[in-house]
Amino acid sequence: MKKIVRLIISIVFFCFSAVPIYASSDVYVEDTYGVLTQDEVNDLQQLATDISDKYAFGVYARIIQDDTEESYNDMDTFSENYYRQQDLGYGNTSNGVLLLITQCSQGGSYQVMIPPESNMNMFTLDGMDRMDEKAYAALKNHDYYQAIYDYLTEADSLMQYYNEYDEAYGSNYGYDTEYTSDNTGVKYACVFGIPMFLASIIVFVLQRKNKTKYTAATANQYITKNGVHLTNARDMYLYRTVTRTPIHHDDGGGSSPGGSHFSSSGGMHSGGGHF
Amino acid sequence: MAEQLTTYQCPNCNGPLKFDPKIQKLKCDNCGSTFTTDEIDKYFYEANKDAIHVDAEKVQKEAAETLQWTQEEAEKLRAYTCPSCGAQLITDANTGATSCPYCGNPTIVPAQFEGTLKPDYIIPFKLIKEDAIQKLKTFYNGKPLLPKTFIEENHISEIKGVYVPFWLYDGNAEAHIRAHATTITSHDTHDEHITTTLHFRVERDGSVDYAMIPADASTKMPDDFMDSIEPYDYADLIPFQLSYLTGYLADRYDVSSEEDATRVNTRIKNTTIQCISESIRPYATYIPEREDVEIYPGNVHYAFLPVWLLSTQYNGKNYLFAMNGQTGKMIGDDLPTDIKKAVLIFIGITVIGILLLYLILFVAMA
Repeated sequence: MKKIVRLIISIVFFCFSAVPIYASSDVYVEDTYGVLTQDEVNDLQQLATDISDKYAFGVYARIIQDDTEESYNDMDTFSENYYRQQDLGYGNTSNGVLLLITQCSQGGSYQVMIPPESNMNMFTLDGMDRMDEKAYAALKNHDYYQAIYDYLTEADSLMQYYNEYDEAYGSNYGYDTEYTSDNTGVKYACVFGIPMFLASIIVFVLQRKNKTKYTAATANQYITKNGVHLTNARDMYLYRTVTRTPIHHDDGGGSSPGGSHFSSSGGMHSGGGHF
Repeated sequence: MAEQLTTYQCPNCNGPLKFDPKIQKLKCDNCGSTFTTDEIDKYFYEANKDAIHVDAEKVQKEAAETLQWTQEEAEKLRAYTCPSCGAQLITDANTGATSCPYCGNPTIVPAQFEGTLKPDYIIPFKLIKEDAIQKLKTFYNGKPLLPKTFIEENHISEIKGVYVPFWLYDGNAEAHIRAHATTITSHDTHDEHITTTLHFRVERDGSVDYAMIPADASTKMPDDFMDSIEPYDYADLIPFQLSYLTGYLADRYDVSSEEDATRVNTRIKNTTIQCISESIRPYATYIPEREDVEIYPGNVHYAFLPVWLLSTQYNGKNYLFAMNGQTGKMIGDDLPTDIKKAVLIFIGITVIGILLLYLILFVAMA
């Protein structure tokens, strides 16, 4: 009995110890494809760190080899999955913007992306267009360093604009991106609350099996064959009530002139493309 | 002169108490309750103080004169002579079948079943004692929170076959129901979601015929126990014969059919409303405004129905079990719960759930 209790307590503590303190990456610029020198990476990393710390918002750039070739055809999904797999986000949040540059056998692809779980208040689709354009202007010449540098500085200016004017630069073309809150707390509440609730229900059901006696309240089993006789059935219409609820329409398509848009999951993506 | 007699009745059910050498306590034959001698001496504190010689023929009168029984209690006693060994049998006024405590032979009191006291029907026992023992063992299956020691310490051999007196009610009930009901439809236009609710007053009148609704007619049998072992299959219901009682215990009724009718009428009312209300459809919502039921009693039959009774003790508490002697349906007092096991199951399920949800929400969906 004591051994079992100790084992269960050990499992619980293991679970807590496995919870990461920070769900973030402090590596803002990384090149696993190998087109930047270490000094270039260090410079860009320093710039990104300064910008990220200034606004408490992660500004990331990655150059990777994509052996799956998925990024070439569906960069929206690829970039969002990559962001989550890399556990990006400033501090213990998921707040951040990513310039993802991939290389595969079919060629190079890029996109600027903010995931749906991030705070999007500082950016609009127009802002995404601007970061995209800055990056592409250098990428089309295969100047990776300049592409990332210009993207970082543009992100800095957009967030500075937000701080000064208390609104993001540009428009979302009708798409509502109101940021409510980080839902990590809700997730933890579900992780602990739902199992406890289910366990309570199960134990209650098992305990009810120990109760077998009851006072009979009905006599359905003793109705004679064909013993139910309906002698009168009268349904009289009284009146009608009508309730009307307005349907809210989305004014815009949520897409900018430069191709920036919101994915089905709610992530903000620039037009991106190939180079 | 007759032997000196000292009799004790079970404080729980007024059944005869016997001393059981195995447990060194006084034990009731009817419900299996056990008591120490100190407890019984205290309950009947002058049981032996003023005991007097009694004559078998004058036992009722003399019992009233002792401090042991009041006049009212004495009127409930009967004295008989065992036809096998000639011993005196002291029983309560309702006992109809028992066994001689001296020679063990089953005895029946014919006078309890004569004239207007004669039952109309009986369902003979279908299950033997061994069936009841096996059924009780399986009764504990599927109850994971039952303490293991409860099963191990259970005295399965202490099972009594009892014919319980029942009233079986026929009748008819008429109902008038009035309710407010609605139907709901909805559709969308380009700019609006429109919900239309139509309101109706619905009325239903009807009647329901009933036959053989049982209600136990013995104060010794808990009503909820007897309700819980229903139903009996009335295909086996046969005209009453005294010989079916041999070897079993039986008491005649001590609750009149008028007294029992109240709880039967409650069942009739609830069922009648339920049956007639089922015709109110198809509506999205239904709120009763008025539900009137008029009950017309029919014939009332007096029947003996078979029950196996078992009493056990665990942690100083008595537990009663009853099994339908025809169908084998078993019920019992609320069983104890192993708190430690319950806590362990709770913790185990919670931990597994936490692990799974954490993997899903924070790892797989990250």
